[in-house]
Amino acid sequence: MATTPQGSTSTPAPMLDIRDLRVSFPTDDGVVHAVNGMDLTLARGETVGIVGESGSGKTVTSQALMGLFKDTSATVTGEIRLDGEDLVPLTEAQMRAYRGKKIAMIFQDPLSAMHPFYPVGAQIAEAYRVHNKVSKKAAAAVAVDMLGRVGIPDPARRYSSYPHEFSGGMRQRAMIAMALVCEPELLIADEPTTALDVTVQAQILDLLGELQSETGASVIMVTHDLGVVAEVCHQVVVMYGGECVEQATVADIFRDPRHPYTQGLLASMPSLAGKSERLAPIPGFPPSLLALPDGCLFADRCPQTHLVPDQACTTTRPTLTGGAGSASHPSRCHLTLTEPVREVAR
Amino acid sequence: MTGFLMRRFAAMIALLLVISFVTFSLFQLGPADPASAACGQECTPARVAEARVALGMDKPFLSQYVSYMSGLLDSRLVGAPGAQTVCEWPCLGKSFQTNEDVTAIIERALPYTLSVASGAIVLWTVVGVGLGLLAALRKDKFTDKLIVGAASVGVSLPIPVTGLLLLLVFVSTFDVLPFTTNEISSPFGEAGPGGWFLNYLLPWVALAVLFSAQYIRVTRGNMLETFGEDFMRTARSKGLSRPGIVFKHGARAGITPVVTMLGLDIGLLLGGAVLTEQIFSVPGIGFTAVRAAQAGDLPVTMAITMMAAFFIIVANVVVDAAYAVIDPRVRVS
Ligand SMILES: Nc1ncnc2c1ncn2[C@@H]1O[C@H](COP(=O)(O)OP(=O)(O)OP(=O)(O)O)[C@@H](O)[C@H]1O
Ligand SMILES: [Mg+2]
Repeated sequence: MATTPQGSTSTPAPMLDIRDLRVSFPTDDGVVHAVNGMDLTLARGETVGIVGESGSGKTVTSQALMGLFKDTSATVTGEIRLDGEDLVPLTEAQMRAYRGKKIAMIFQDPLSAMHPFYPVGAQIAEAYRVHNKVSKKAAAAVAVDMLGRVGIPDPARRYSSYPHEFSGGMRQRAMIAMALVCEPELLIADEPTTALDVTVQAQILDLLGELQSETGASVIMVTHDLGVVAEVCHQVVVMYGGECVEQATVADIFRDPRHPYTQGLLASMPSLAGKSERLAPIPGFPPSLLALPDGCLFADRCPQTHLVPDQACTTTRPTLTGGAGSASHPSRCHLTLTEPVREVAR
Repeated sequence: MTGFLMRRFAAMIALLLVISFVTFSLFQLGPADPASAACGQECTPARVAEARVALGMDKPFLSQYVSYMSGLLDSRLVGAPGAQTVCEWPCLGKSFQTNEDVTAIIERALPYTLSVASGAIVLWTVVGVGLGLLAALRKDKFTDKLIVGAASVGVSLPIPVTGLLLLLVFVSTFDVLPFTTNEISSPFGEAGPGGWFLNYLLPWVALAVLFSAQYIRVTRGNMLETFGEDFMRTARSKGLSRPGIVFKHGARAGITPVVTMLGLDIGLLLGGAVLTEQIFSVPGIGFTAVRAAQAGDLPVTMAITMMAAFFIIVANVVVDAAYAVIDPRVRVS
């Protein structure tokens, strides 16, 4: 029965296994708890979507996976097991060997994510040369080839174009080429299509899918867009206030959302058929990350707290657990322990 | 690129014409009367009039301006009718005080100014950019605070204060450095590079204290801004080492505004480091300009003003061209 804390689809050694990841930043106003117990399991070759509203900690989680908080004032605890090896205790120098090589990242805004003064091709070749001892010429050839693979016409000529000379879609293709040039096993795409218009979005998602099946990489797709999740993901993790509040297969999350926040997200989607709809906000505000409440982080926006006895929602933080019913997936809600009540709520 | 430079060049000539005209007018309208100054103590109205003719100041304003400017194209005759002398091209007139060719005066003064400027520029660029970069890399650490603290003292130290302090300590009290002498105006002279270096070390330091402080601030600020850019995060995500990230990606972008500042400062300084030259008695352009202005020596003042304007305008064009080389986004096809 699915009473384990993690997803029921777990293979013997998942590509990525995040346990109780926490990231906090000391600031002048106090400590910002941006990620507060994030759990995620990702099988080899699969795609997991991370969804959640703005400020829920999606980007911070992604950056923690890349080890970008090493050598900064931020505190990162928990476990990030990549292929069984924990990345959290690694030093910046050790982490460098993984970045770009085993884990790579695509950023939301490709224009600002590329260096404005270097040709696009040179930036891709540079990414290749970091992890492969080859001549500049050989790396350039690899970069041209890569530009072709991501669908940029006349790649040999476009090699020496600058980022500002590319269209938005082209730039994101080039960004993908840069991320995939060392054939990473895990690709993190942080809202890769948010800055693009709808038709280009679809092309980029298709491209990512193609390249993923070619290389067998696992992908983390960070997005606001449940339409994207439905289209490209196997698994989905819903984040709220820096916590994973629910993890399920895509089919399960749409068919049987267990956390009231997830239910709210789905309800705010006008129609599941009109895929690329943005999430409309749920009334209320996310919790202050400076002073987190003792109880459930969603309690003050949750329409269902009255269904839980003893005001547990405001006094006890629920853990990420499987439901009492059959074949249920983990969610972080007191209600999931009392199956019939949830039915009433829907 | 060529078209761009041609346009800038044309604009530069036009601007210089305007500046020359304005400067010329200001001297005409000003209270100084070079004619009575030139005719000395026992002056009669007749002799003033004579002097005025000799200086060419009896003619209408516009024809004076045109005849002055014609010296930039060809040699011309100057002086009273009957006692005219040839002023060789490029003619900037003759000094009212000494009757010497202004061109010769400037040629004599320029090496001193070049000596002061060149060393100071190198010194403050190395120190300012280096410390600014170091401070940015050590942000909020002790080193950073020390450098930023020193810079805020540095920017508030005017050159006369630093200059006199340096002279007091290194020349008067400890006598480890010579007082600057007129005899050395280049590293290729008799004194050799070493003598030249020691001779100009104090003026360089005086200028560098002030300018380094500004460069530290600008470099640090720009580098910190650059470190926060998305492309720096990308560079790190590729697995690049810290030097690669900081220098290849960070400094390339963060130093660009410093290049602008440097170009303009060089242009400014070549027009004479007035205070520094005064304090260290270096007979450069700035020093000469002050003397000439005090004496109402129109041709000398005029020529130096034009030359300073020329350097500044050229520096602007060079900075624009440099920008186009550094930043592909501003390149015009
Ligand atoms: N370096 C930092 N210092 C302090 N607070 C930070 C820092 N980085 C992120 N945060 C805070 O952490 C929270 C989570 O930010 P994050 O960028 O992960 O959100 P997100 O889910 O990616 O949102 P969006 O959808 O808007 O991109 C935010 O409240 C943000 O202000
Ligand atoms: Mg984000």
